[in-house]
Amino acid sequence: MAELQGLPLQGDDDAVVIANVRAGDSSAFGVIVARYRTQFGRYAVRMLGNREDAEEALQDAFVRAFRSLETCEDPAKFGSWFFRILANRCRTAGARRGRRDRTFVRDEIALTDASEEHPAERDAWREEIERALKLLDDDQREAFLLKHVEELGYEEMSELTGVGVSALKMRVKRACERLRSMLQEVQGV
Amino acid sequence: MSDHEHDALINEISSELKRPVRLSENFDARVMSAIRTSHLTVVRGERDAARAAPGSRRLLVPAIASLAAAAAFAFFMIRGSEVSTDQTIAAVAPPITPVVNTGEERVVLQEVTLSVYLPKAKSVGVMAAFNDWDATRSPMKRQSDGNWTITLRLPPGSYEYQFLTNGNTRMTDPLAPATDSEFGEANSVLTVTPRQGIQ
Repeated sequence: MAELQGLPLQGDDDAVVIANVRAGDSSAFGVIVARYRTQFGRYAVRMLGNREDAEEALQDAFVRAFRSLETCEDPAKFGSWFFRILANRCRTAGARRGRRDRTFVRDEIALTDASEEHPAERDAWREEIERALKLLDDDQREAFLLKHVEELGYEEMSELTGVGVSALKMRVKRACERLRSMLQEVQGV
Repeated sequence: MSDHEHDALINEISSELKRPVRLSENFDARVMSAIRTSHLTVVRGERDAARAAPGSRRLLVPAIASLAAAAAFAFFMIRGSEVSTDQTIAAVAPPITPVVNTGEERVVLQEVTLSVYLPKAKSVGVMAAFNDWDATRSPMKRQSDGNWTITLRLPPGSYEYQFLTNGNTRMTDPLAPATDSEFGEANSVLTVTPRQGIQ
């Protein structure tokens, strides 16, 4: 199964690109967008559960990042800085959406690579995973995604989210317990 | 490391969630369009602020100008009654030149017609930054000779665009200048000048 590597929190030449943007070459920001769209796009889709909201949040985050680029103190770590903007946009979008019911699961499956085969059983399993993920609290979902999908360490997660390590561990633990509880029966484990 | 981090089920869930997702094909272009608009707004605001020297009676102008400029930048699209039969973009001298008064400056909208010969197409629309790359917002009208046309009113400037045919196929204008975008994707270029209308 094709997997995407974790969040690109540092880019080798981000500082150079950002220096160009700051010097007035706004089109250079396209390099940043192209570089970060895929992995941060996945995070946004997983957090918000559908592509429409995810793209809105991601676009908003990119525009906000561009407009406040002067406040990025360490351009070499643009990814980390950008993630904090995106995470806030995702939280805002999630709060705005509130408890609005969305049947995003099938749409989400349609977002995967078309060249990949989707046997019915695999689709059903994916639907269950997406459904269970959706049922997690936002904080738990965020912590779970950062830990188990983006494969960040707890110190790094703490730096990104501003939440203490022990609290993050608890969120991940509870997220795992809830996911396990919801999915074990489905999987027949 | 706690036991939940070694859980086979959790690993399987994680593996599923690591699959890449696919964003809209025009996502990058949409972002850059929003950024360019944002950039222009900032630049215009700074310029207006510079013009409104301390003590000037124009201290309130920047806000008004920004609002009016934003309105101008919203660009109106109209269907033209006068249609070019040329197969490429063609300038149409407007009988009445529309003007948007920004309070401090006058933005003259130029009326331009895009035309493309696609006799077998079922639908054609224009995708550009001025419509958020949404062809449904700028549908072209089929003419009896197989040309599809649309007349737009735009402020002077340079615009990248593409045609979207049958709702799913993008193409550049075969007879217009083209450029590589910052994403390596070719776009046609429409240049609207203040007086000549279009080059």
